[in-house]
Amino acid sequence: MKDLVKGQELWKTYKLDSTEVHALRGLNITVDEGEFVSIMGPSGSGKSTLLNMIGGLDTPTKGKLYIGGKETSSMKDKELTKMRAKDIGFIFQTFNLLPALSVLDNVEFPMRNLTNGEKLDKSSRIQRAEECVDIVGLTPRIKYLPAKLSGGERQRVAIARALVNNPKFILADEPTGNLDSEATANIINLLHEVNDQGTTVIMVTHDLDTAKDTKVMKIRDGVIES
Amino acid sequence: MIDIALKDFRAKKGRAAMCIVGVMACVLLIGTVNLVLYEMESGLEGDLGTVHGKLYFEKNGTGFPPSGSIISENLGNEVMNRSEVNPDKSTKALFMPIQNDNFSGYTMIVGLTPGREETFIENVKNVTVEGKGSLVGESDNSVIIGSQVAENFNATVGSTITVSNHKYKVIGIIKQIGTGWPLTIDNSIVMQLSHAQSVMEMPNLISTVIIVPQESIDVAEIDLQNAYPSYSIYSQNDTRKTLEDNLSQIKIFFNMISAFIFAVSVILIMIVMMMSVKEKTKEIGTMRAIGTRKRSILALIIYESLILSLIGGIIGIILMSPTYNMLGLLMGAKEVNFLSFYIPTPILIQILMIVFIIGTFSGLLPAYIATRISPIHALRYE
Ligand SMILES: Nc1ncnc2c1ncn2[C@@H]1O[C@H](COP(=O)(O)OP(=O)(O)OP(=O)(O)O)[C@@H](O)[C@H]1O
Ligand SMILES: [Mg+2]
Repeated sequence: MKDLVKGQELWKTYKLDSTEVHALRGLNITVDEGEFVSIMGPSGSGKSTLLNMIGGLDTPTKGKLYIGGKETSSMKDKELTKMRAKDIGFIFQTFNLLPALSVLDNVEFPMRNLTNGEKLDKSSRIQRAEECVDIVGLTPRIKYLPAKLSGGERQRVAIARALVNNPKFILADEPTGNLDSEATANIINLLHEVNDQGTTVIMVTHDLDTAKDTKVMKIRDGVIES
Repeated sequence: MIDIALKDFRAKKGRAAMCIVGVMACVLLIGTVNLVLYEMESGLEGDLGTVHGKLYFEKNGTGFPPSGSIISENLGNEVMNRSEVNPDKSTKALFMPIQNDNFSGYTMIVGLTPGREETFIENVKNVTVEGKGSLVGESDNSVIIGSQVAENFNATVGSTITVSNHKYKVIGIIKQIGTGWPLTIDNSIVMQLSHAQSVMEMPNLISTVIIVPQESIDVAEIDLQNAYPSYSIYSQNDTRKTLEDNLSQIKIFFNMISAFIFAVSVILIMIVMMMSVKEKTKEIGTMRAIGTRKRSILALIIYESLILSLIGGIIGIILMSPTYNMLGLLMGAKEVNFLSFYIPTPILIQILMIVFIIGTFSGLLPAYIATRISPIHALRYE
């Protein structure tokens, strides 16, 4: 499929008391299958807002957004939740691992969110989770709790978690924002590897270096500049 | 989701412990209160159970025990000869309470026809007598005594006790059957009617006729009442009423205490779970973001509170018997077996239900709140 993500005239307006904040102002975006897109732009320009919308966490105030050909603004919470579980892998700036769960359990967790026909049995889930932990090179840490891992290692766990359900695309909001340059390089390499395997990646970043070899989209004041 | 709930406790031991202790205390309190009530009720049943299957013919307005009733022995003989009355099993009886100097409470002198001891002693509960259970062929001053009397007078089978300057020879001791209230078997000294009359200086007087009916007890009651309208026929129906009268106030009071404790522990766990949900806003938001359904979040929180209250409940149940025994010890029980584990089934079922309800109820609101967490808000949450 060509247009994995297609946004037309997207508006997002927040009402704060009497004033209105326009986070997106008629933004248009198209992401094709297999692309690695970097969204860049100044703070407050609407990058996270856009990414959340693509991730089915938020809906546009105005405009139409199609994910995999399906219009999302009319979807109910239940459908959006299902879409997030099945089609999307999330990576956050603050890692957001579940602190009570081991590396393996964290990676296995999203597979529990699949429903009926798609849900694997426990042993297949563990096997798949081990595979993904191996991909990010953390097999020696598989029993660790997140608190015992470095930032870079945590983000690798998050990547494994994002991959585990074979999503159509991965959304990463400043995935290296809390990491040093070495860990950053490592994470970006991993994302490129994932992209090489055919998974679409949409990443928000401030750093031109990390956006190297990706399709850069610049956003300013809620619209895409280039 | 249960495994995740369990892993959550490992991460937050203090909070889990707080909930567990809360439920434990609740179970302990409610359980002990109910155990006390249960024992009281069962004791009262024992006290009044001697009326079961029998009728007490007595002066109007006396009730049970019939110590306030005085009727002539002639009237007693007349009643004994009526066709409703089984003359081989029924007995004339004299009940006289004696105040004691060296311990609080009363002792009840019960005089009856030798050979008819069973008529008085027989109970809804099993009665066992140590020594002899019959006065037939024994000397005039022979007595069969209740367990409380044995304790008060430090008596054993074969020993002699002195009550109000009269000496009695103990030939049998009835094992404890009730609470000792109100002056019934456990506090009784059973002796020959003629001896009781002479000791009490009440010749030709009795308190009651304990009637074992020939046929239907209900018919006998109505017939006798019709024949003697100015006397009363006390029966097991009256017993039940007496029992309820005596217990209803206490029951209401105890149930109020239970309800209060219950409410407090529901609120306690609810607050702790709310705190937990608030604290886990980011985690729950993350779960929702990566596709966890609301239903699963709901289940997770309810499992958590249910598991916590079950653990607390089980510990509470285990500690209930020792606590009850300790209470008994403080209230003056002489021998207490701390290793005995005794909880009547109805109370156990009641407690388990309470634990289950605490777990579910206290989890509901926090779980609902958890499902309302917006993932976007949670991801921004610092
Ligand atoms: N829930 C909200 N209520 C009100 N205003 C909001 C809300 N969320 C975002 N905004 C506003 O929308 C605008 C865009 O926010 P957004 O988080 O998308 O920016 P960003 O490009 O991701 O910035 P940064 O690089 O700092 O993360 C900001 O001005 C922000 O204050
Ligand atoms: Mg942002």
